Amino acid sequence: MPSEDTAPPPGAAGVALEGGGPRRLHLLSPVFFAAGHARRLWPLALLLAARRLWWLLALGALVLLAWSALEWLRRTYTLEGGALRLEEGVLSRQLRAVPFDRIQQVDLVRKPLHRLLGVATLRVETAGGGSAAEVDLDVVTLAEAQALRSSLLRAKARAAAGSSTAGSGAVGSGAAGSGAVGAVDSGAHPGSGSATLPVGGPHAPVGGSGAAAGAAGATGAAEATGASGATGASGATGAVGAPGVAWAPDAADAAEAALAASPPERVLLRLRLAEVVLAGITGSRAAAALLVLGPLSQVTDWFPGLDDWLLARFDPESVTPTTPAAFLVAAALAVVVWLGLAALSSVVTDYGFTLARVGDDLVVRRGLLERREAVLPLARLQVVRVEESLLRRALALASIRLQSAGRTGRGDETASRLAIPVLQRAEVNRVLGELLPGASPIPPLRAPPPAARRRAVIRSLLRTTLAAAVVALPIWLLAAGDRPGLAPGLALLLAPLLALAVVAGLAAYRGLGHAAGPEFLYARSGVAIRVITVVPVAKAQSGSVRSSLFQRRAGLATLHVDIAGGGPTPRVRDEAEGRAETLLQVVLDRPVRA
Amino acid sequence: MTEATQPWVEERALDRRVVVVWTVQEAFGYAVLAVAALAVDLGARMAGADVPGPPGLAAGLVAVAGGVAAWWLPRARHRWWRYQVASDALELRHGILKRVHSAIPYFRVQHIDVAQGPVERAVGLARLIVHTASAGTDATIPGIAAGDAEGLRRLILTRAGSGDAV
Repeated sequence: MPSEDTAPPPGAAGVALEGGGPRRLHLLSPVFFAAGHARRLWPLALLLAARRLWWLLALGALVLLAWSALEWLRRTYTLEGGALRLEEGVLSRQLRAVPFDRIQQVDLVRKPLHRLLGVATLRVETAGGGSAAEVDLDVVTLAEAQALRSSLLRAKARAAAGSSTAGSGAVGSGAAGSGAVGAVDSGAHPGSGSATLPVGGPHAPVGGSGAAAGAAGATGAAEATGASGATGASGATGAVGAPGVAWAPDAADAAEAALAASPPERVLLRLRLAEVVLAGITGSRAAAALLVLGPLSQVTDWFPGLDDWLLARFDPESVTPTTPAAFLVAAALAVVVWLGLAALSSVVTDYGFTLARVGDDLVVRRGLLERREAVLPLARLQVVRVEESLLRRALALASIRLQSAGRTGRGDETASRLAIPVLQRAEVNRVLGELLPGASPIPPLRAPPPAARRRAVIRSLLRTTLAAAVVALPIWLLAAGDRPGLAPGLALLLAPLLALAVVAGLAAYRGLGHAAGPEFLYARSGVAIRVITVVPVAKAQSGSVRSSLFQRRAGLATLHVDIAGGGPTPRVRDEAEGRAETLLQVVLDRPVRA
Repeated sequence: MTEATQPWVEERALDRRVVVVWTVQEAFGYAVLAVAALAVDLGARMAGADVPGPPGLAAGLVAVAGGVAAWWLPRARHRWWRYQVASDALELRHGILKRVHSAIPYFRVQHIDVAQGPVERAVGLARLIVHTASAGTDATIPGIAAGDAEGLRRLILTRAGSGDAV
């Protein structure tokens, strides 16, 4: 059966795919599998080659090939029951079923070797969390790949038509959102050159789209082809021809409309130079510098003999600060230089930071030497984090981080790491309201039950004790013999440390809080950097309530909300168990009794 | 909805055979650990290091502790595992020390895998792995009779499709 599959007449668009039973990949696939395995095993191969164990190397290659052949035998795919089904695995077996209407993107990849052999890899992706494609048919004949792609796109269109216009995307779509959302994303990019490539195929109007733009960003050599299959031309641009096509019936129209009459731009926030400098000085880079250099300037006060010791160690000619005052000045200078560098790097990256709204997109422009522009469709915005470090809290400043459903490691890294470096706290609610309409103002947050305070303090104490033990034990073991006063000294040091731990624990408890509106969930946590996470309930993919043994004894639990895209999982920590379960119902958008 | 949905609606425990699968897996892990401990023990003795106790003491301890864990953990885990194919979401409750209750609305489901390891295949079980657009979603149902897995997969996908899509 495979032999007849592998050699269909060239250009046969009508390779019977549906209802034809399970199909295997191309006969040459084992070679590609083996090459993939070999790439992972190259250190071993190198070792064998270095030892001149050629026979073992040859044996290994044979085993690899045999294993790959087994894999090929076991790997079949079917288009059946409204889903693309892939069965695979020799020892562990797996059956994957991707419903047609969940397919986001169908890519046809042809590397030079593929082109030489007349084969192609078909990649089918959903909005799944991983970075790898959900189904990777590596390899099938070109004709089969094209036929398969057009059948998948047709089936997806049919499935989408069945479920009416749900794809238009306002509520509940998220990243899981339909192809249309993803496509409008880059289709409406003013900046990215190859974003809109309207292509017609014999079977359907195919919108050049998010997929095409993503591939363009990644490989620099993308070419959108219709199902008619002109694949030759991409050789001019680079090694990889990656015709990407995402099925987006109304995306092409939307993109065209966007290009025809680009909607007016409304500036939401513009940072002045002083604010950008402030962002650098109060940012994490500067904080790291202060942590290191700040206490250092006090060192000479604490240890009166230190500069003598330093003098004895270092050549006075090469080290300028010879008096405590000079040393202080040098340290202060270092701080100033460091802060200056932090401010400078902030200015270089964020000069003229502008956040604007153009149609349904957020546009961020920034940069001193190189103007950068990032575009984020608001429909793909998943979570907004308002961050306040201790220093910024004192200065009534905050920063905002946006988490979107961009695929990591692909074209839209910039969009998935969008942030507002600094803004006045008074502005937070206004900006939040623009980002997530209805989310502002942030309601008063509800503190977790008192049991959470006890838990926070105990955790902090335990952590500090453990850290202290790890540091103190080796010192004590090494030096106890010749210094009898050391152990009491260490114990004496422990007392203020534990007091500090209690304070930190209390601060951690005060940092906790949450609020649940009908459409948004707010969760706050953190000591040094306090983060308020705003999660639109409509963007929650799933949720869970988790409780450790200790939490259960205190009647507490933590709510996790799973969101599309990377970034930390939003959590409501240490809430009462019953409340956490109620919040889970809120996340699931179920009616909650009072 | 073409499937016989009735038996799935209520809260269910995992198939009892999953205990065998877990026991074999745990035992295998601890056996490897015990062998490694034995190798280190004997190696150190041969190198002339002064190791307390008779040879194989460490490996024996690991084996005993591993045996207890391999016996007890799978049974406790099975006792705490519940899943429910509720009307609008798949709900899982599991965990011995860390208890987890997770819920995945059907309309968020992207695709579903049915996986079988060698041991699972031997006892006729399968694992159902439900994927959403979030990598953080915890949705693996480990012990389902291989014959039922396909039906459950179809049931979830049917419900996923009948919702307001995504």
